[in-house]
Amino acid sequence: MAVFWAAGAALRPAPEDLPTMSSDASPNSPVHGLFLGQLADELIYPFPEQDPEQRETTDQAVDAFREWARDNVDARAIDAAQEIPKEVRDGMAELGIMGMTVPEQHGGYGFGMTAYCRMVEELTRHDASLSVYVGAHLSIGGRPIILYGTPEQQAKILPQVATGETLCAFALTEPGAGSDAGSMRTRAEWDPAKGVYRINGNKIWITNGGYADLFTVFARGSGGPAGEGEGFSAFMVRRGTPGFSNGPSEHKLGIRGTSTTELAFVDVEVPPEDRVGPWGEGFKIALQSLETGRLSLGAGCTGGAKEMVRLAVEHARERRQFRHPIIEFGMIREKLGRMAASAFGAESAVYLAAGLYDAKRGDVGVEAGYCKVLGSETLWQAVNDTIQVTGGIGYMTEYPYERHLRDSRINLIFEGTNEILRLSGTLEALKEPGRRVTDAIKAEKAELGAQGLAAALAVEGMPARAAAGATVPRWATPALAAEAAQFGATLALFGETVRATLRKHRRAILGAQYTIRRLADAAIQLYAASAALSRASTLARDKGEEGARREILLTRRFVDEACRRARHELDVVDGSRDAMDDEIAGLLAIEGRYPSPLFT
Amino acid sequence: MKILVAIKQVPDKNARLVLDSAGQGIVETDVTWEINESDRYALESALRIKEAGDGSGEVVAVTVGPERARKAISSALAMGADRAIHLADPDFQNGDPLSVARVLAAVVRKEEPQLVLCGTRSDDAGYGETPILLGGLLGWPAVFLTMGIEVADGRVKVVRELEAARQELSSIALPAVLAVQSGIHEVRYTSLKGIMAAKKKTVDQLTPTELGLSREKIGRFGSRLQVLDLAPPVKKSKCEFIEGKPGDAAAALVDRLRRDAKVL
Repeated sequence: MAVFWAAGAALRPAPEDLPTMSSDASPNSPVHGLFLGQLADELIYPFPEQDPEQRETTDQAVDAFREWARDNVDARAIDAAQEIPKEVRDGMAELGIMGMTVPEQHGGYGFGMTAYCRMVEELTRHDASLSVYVGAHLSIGGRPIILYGTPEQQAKILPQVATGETLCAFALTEPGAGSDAGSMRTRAEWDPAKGVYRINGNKIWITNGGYADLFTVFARGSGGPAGEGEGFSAFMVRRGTPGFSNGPSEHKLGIRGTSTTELAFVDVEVPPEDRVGPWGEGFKIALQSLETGRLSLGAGCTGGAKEMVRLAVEHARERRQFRHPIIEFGMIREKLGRMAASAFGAESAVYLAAGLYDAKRGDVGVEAGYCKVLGSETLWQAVNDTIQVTGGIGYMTEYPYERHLRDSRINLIFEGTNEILRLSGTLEALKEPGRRVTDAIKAEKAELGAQGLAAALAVEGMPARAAAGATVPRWATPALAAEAAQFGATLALFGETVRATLRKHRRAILGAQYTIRRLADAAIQLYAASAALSRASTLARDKGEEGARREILLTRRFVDEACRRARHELDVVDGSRDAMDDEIAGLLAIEGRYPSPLFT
Repeated sequence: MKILVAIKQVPDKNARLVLDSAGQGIVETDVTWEINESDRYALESALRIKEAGDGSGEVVAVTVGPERARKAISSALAMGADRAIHLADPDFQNGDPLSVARVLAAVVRKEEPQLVLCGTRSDDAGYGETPILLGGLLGWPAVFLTMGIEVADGRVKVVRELEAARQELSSIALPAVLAVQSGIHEVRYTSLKGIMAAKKKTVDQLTPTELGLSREKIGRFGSRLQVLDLAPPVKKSKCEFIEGKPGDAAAALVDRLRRDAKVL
């Protein structure tokens, strides 16, 4: 699961026949819509509902896991032993957890994204190590075989993957190839004499490295049985293959139950039938596997954030100071309100994307990355708030709070750092508006004056300021009218800012990381706000506003803060501080230390 | 051997219960439901008897409850029951233990199991009467607080829990009704395999007519027992200081504990 992703690489090459966007077509995902200054109404509202039968299955599965975990999972012991006990691993396999997403015809349970996300949430609530262990197996390790395996490979391997007899891992990251996966050095050379690929190289930070039986390994090579040229491909390597070995488990800050190791490949022979997917498709396979991993990781973080709410409230209700439970104090309430509303926002963002993914509507690649960013940062903030609410107790290793702090820190780093995901998702979402702005500039040059401007706006297909009302979700339930208006105005501003920014930077936007970071944060907040508005409004439609009162309340709290945060980013999108940061960092790069000591 | 297991869906033990405006029931929205605890032990016992047998056994879960009880049935099927009978007709609902026992007795006559297992008592109403009344209606032996079951040669050896940790072992001729006590065995965990298999199992719905029951004998019309009022326990706390010399104060305290608090 420790995978650091490549900047600028297309986030998701179209797996199936996904609609491509033209200027008259509606955006193919909520975030793509935002970047065009549009609300992708038909994708956002109504909020997706899980198919009733799958919902029942998932409810039962989550209940079953919870019941088992209460009796059998001791997160504290797992953390202390730096190992998930064999009984726990076997127990999860017996429950069927290891086969959740494996198709039913191969002995699994065919969980869709929504179902899988719900289970990952529950895993995380009990122990983050379990969640990462299962995620490395199903979200990414076994995913390439599920997505790209031949019928023969699937029939042979997936039944054991589903039972957990074969535990999977995903091996992409290398010492010199973290976020920049393109600089990978592991080689898979075709040996025509023996008719095998010969893999040589090293992988690092491989989750399940010490436990796994089957590794999906990514490597470059210069050929194959059909005389293929240089390419980047995926291979299955089994534990026990001569020349393969793993190092000891690394000592980590958190998720200590997971085994994270180095892998070494010395002339490891892999027969051609163990190559996964076509030759040269390694990038595509890796990216697609990671995409599902990101969405479910976002879900896991949401589950963690909800657990933090529970822990913080539990303490705040019990702890009395100045003769009152501290939950009565404003500074505590502010934290609890923020925690609950943020968890609600992240949860809404995750399940909107998961619902669209399950319904095969649009392409939620950018949303998946954004959900990972939002989820991980929401959880981190929630853990921090919980530790503050619990005070000194929160700092003691006798209590669970500090373990949550340690466990949750990795989420901002692995499966694509939050920086890389902000960059890659946003650049992807900027492609279409970029194309439109380029066309508009051409049109302007062709025609002069006011006519030219009108023509340009028409080509850009983005709402002018006067039409800002078009960005207000008209489906919002009346109780959320003010928040809908606030959202609409912020979205209109976002659309305008995107257009103005592209006109200013043109192609240089690719390197404008300060600006991209701000656009990404505004987009993440707006996307989550649209999901929250949709969720509460859909529920109000079905149950009446009284039946949706909690959701309406949390949405109001969340949307208000989300819009303010987005607006703040947009107000300073090409901030004057950027030049200062450039200069300070330049100074630091030369001098290598704090630049202005008060005392020398 | 065919075993019928009677299960009841009750509010989750941690659910926060709010009384309805009539004061005779609870507000069901926002309540999560689960299978009554001792009923789960009854189901586990039935599954173990079946698994120890020659493979021809059948475990049938039966519940009297509205549409929402479908979830309890799904859980029972996922745990391993072979099929289920859901008595969801409105006429069956809101009955006292006797009217529920009448419905169950009709199902037993139709299904003809050799053994009926129930939990000892429900975690919500808690009367603990239904299994015994069922035995009475059927003319079958009924055992309360069952802590051990062993079926052999048309009889069942039953361990019954008595006062002061004593146990009684008896041998009973089948058919019989056993009310199983929580803790008799470790209850199995539900697996995804069980959950998926449950989807293919049959759940029969039966009407009062199909069971040959008239409306006056079942549900709330058939109930002899009528709940007049439900009220949450009133929280009272009061602090009193007993003044005087230590010896006198202690004597006064003992007196008060005896007379008022009745704890000594």
